[in-house]
Amino acid sequence: MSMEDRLVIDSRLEAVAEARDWLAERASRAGFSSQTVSDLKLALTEAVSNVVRHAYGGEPGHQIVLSLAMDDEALTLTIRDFGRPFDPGRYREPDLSEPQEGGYGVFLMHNLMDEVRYDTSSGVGTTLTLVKRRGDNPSTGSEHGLSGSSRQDP
Amino acid sequence: MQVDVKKEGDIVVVVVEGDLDASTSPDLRAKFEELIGQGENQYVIDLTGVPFMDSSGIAAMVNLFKRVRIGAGDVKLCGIREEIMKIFQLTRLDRVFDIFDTRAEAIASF
Repeated sequence: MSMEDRLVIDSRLEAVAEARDWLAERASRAGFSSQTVSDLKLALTEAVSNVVRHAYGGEPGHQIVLSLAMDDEALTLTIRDFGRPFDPGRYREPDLSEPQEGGYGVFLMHNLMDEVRYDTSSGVGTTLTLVKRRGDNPSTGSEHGLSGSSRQDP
Repeated sequence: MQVDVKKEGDIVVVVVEGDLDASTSPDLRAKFEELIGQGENQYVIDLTGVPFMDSSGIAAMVNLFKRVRIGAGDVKLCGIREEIMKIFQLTRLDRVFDIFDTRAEAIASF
């Protein structure tokens, strides 16, 4: 069993909360644990905030298209923008030995998600794909597939 | 997001309510700026009412921390919910900040 959905938001930081709630509601309904839903909310927020600030330079009035696909194996979120393409080669991991005021966003995405992929091959903007696989989470119990909807996390 | 400030002797208690993300953290930074301008350097940040925090919220805390630690000040955190503790753990800031369960414990630690 699978589920797909789509949301288009404007390139404003104020719109990120709407996307966060949209994702959380659907992931919760699909049986992902509360910890995984928290991880997804944080990864989405970092990703979409980066699009607003860097791909679109903080300028409102541009589209950000979010596509969500879930099945018994995983949740896949793609975030499509049409702004300045992201260059992963310029990314530097933050120095965790000292508190930093920036540079954690991409680092967090990579640590929270099972897969993070960037695609700039279209020549316009970036498609970022975030994948979170279902799996046992020691702190919150196991996550249930969509086909097991009769079982819910406590 | 809402920010309330209370004084407990020489300690400033900053009570934050609501999501702390890139659209709201500038308001928190502005409040910190105002308090630093007033010469305050001992802070307890009460995050009991914060269900979500991203890296911009972290940046606001770190900015305050770095600035007050130049002098004899300090920043202590309390009331961090389980769902936002992970960002502190992943960034290892749980080793930088003194973190307490309750506001009373954080105040008593100064």
